Amino acid sequence: MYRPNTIIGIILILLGITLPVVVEGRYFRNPDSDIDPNIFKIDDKKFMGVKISPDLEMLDVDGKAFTFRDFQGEPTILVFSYYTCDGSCSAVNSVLKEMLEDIERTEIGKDYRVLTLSFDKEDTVDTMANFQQELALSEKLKKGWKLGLIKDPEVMEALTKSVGFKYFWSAQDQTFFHPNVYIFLSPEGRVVRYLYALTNDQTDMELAILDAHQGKFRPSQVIELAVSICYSYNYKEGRYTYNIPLFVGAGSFILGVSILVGSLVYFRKFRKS
Amino acid sequence: MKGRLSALTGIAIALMATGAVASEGGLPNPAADWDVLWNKVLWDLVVIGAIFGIAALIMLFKYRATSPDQVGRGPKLSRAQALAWALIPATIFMADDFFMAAKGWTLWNTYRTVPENAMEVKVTGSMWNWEFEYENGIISTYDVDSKEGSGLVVPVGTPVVLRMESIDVIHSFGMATYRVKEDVMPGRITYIWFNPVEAKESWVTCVEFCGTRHSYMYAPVKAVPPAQYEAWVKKMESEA
Amino acid sequence: MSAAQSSWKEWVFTTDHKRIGVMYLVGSLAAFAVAGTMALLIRIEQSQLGPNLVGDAFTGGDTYNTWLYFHGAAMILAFLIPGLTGYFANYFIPLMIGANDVAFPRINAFSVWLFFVAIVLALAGFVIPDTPDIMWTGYPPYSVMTSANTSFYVFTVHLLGFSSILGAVNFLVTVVYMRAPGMGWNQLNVFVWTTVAAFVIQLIFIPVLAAAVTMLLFDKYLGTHFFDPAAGGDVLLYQNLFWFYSHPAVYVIFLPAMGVLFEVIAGMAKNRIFNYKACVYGGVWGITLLAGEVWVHHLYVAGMPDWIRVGQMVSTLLISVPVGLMVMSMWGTLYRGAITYNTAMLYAGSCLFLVLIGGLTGIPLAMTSMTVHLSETAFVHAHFHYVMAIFATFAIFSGVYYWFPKISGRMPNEKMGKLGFLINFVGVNVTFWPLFIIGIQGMPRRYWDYQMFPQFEGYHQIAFYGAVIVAVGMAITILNWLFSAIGGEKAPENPWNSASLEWTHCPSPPGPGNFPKDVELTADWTPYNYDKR
Repeated sequence: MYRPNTIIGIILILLGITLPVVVEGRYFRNPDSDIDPNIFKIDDKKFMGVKISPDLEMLDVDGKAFTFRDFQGEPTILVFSYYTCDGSCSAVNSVLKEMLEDIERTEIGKDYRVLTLSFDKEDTVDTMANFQQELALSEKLKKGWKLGLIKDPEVMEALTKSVGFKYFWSAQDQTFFHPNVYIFLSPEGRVVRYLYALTNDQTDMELAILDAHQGKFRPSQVIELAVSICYSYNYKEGRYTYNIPLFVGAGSFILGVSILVGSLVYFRKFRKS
Repeated sequence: MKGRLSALTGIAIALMATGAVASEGGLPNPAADWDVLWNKVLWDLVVIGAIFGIAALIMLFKYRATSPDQVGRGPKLSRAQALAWALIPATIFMADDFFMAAKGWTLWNTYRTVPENAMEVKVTGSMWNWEFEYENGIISTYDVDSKEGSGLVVPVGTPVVLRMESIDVIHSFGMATYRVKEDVMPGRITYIWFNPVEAKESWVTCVEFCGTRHSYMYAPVKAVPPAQYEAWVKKMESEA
Repeated sequence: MSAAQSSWKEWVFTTDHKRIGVMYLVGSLAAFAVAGTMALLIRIEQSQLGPNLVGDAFTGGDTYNTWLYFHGAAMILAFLIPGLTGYFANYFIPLMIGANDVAFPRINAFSVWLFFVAIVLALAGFVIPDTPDIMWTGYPPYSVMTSANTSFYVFTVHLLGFSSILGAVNFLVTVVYMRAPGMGWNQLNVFVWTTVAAFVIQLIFIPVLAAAVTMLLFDKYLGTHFFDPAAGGDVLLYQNLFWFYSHPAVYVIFLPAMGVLFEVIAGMAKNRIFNYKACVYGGVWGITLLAGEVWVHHLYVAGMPDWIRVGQMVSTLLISVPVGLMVMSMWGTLYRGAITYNTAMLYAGSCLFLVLIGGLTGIPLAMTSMTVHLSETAFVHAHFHYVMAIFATFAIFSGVYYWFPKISGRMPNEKMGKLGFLINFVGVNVTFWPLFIIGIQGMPRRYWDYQMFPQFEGYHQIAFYGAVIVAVGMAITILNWLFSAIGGEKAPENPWNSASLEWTHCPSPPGPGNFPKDVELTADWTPYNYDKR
């Protein structure tokens, strides 16, 4: 399913995680035991449309409980991460932060929201609060970006499994291996799209947010609707590409109208006096 | 015209014979709502059809020429009359249209609002099979040639939402008994839901042309009492 | 000058709009005969459970699917559209507007030959080993994945499309600029208006269909991915583009068919069109205006976003307003008329009921939520056969009978004509009423076997008997035309005492140049000016 770039991207990001550790030399291991990135591959067609239970309970940075129900009504970008970063922080959040910062048309907190969840059962409200400080979200992003954790590891397991997200703790590397994936949820909480930190840019992010609306736009979002129609998701390349047949169709429609108008204007000379 | 009317009544009766049972719990039942709306629409059609049909019949009979030289004496409309004859019928037609649209829109919302407690089943269409994957991992199929497999089994009383996808060409998942269908295509997920209110065995058929064995792309849909459903789930789990 | 006396060269190299019209009629009736035979085969196959004509359960579908493909494609693209916008428009528009010929006679001749090549190509698709089986809609991914040959379908559409575009430009220029001196817009025959509207629709929308099928061809044979979702294509877009043309195409058929009926009814009832302006400016142009905003009702269950499904439910229902205005005018034209019944008027009269059945059964199909159950069932099948197959075909037959003396100079045999009409009328109703009933109960379309629904066998049997009746009626009708054209009674100049230009100002059949004297019209002239008070 992936472009070679995607695989290279995953390798790079995994290297990015392990490199500082390797350079430090404390945990030097035989390079032959590297992780095969293919095991993280999410078969997106299999998991598209999976619904996340609205009653799933989570804790926020203040230790207060909230549910997925709070995230219904608008699209959500779901990010799986972990909050302890002694040395090697999960890059998935900071990359997203930079991309979302540049998105102007769709407004975070109003048109979509972000939810980062920890899959690390060691994480606590404190590590989460720490992480939030280190992430240093701008005022704009704070409006719609929430961190959370699930207390029950079994529930967490079930959730990640239900959306095809695989991860594991490498004792020898003292770090988590996981795909840097963004899961786009529809307003009802169904999986619409998987995008990746290194292969997708903010245009893809924005289009995926529009895609996640699943055609449910407010009348004021007519431009967003038009933009989303102009692109379609390319499974082969793992990104959004122009919806070429639409432009061909529109062009031929314009051609038809021009023939009509043109022939009536051009052949005025046939007029009988 | 009389024959036509009685044929229409025939349709109504035929429909009542297969009519779905209304839901007893608080849950909506789109299939029963469909039948209710259908009866309203049918009345609308019969009334309009009868007015125009009888008018045509009377005029075709009454205004026969009595001599070869006779010419028609159709009215010459004044500007006001012409406008009235355009605007008044247009308004009546439009009123009927908006009435229909409102009714249709209400039912449409029922069709598109999936109840929260709905049981989810993943449907995969392929040439020429239906595969049903339950939340607990059970996979159920049906072989039309050997008549083996149980198809879609659901417990009575629980609404079921189907998350559907195709792995090859476009198919369409149509359940006449539950008055619902939606296309199934590669690369996109579509949903429908239905409310099995009584134990009943029916069929799902492919209703979008998909090639050689399009006519044989069907599977049973069995709505069974919850206890029987549990037993079936156990059996499928032990077999897997 | 009769047809029998002229040499073949005069026909092949003709640029006379009347001969071109007759060539369209012959070509489209040939397509009708072949496609009608397919319909009969389809009815025989469905009449009993299990394989009847085709092989076994595993491969039998292939043969049956090619019949379905050919029946649909030929009936719509090679019979209905060329019959109405080819034959009727070619022959009668110049006569009705008092013109000597069309604006571009040689382009007109080119159009008809494109049409013939297209028909030959479509027929050739039937003798090659991998006959197309993609339905006349040709939805991808099936049409791309199938081993059958899609290219014949695509090239047929290209040729017919090109032919139609040339024809449309030709006739629009003709009607706009070549009317007889003194003929104002409100003095045009309703048929001219409906045909002009049909040509406007053809011109605007055909390029979209041509683009869609071209991309289909590229996807299949050149490995592009326009409609392949795995590589960024949009699997639903073909359907949108296809119906963006093909729903308006229904009006390309419906409007001229209504136009023919207006001519026949006004001519046989010797009456003026009731509320002409509402009919033309509200009805004809209202339909034209709405034609491009309703295509999604073909995709109500195709997974389109809710907003467009609901939006187009409203626009589709609103089609009933302009159609209703045309219906009011048609009914009003009967009011206080002086109706003489001949075969043409019998067909026209029956069309009043057929359009009611076809139109009214369209109302539930316009409603998104009703369609969730009715879509792709025998109900839809019966609905559009009432509109297209029966209503439009009966309108064509009505027109052929009405203008038979004009084109052949001979009267049609009324006894045979009326017999043929009666058999046809009974036959079509026997064929399609059972389909309404089993459609509501969920009988899917395009099935050749229906193992899971054995209760529908009886209905299919009735439909089969109906089809046999229709076959008899059609045979009588077409033989009647042949025999009457050769040996019919000589027709007087204006047998129906019509007031329309094609009857009053030129002989039957008209010679080259149409009108012996140039036509000049007074301000109070109309083609429906019977009541001289």
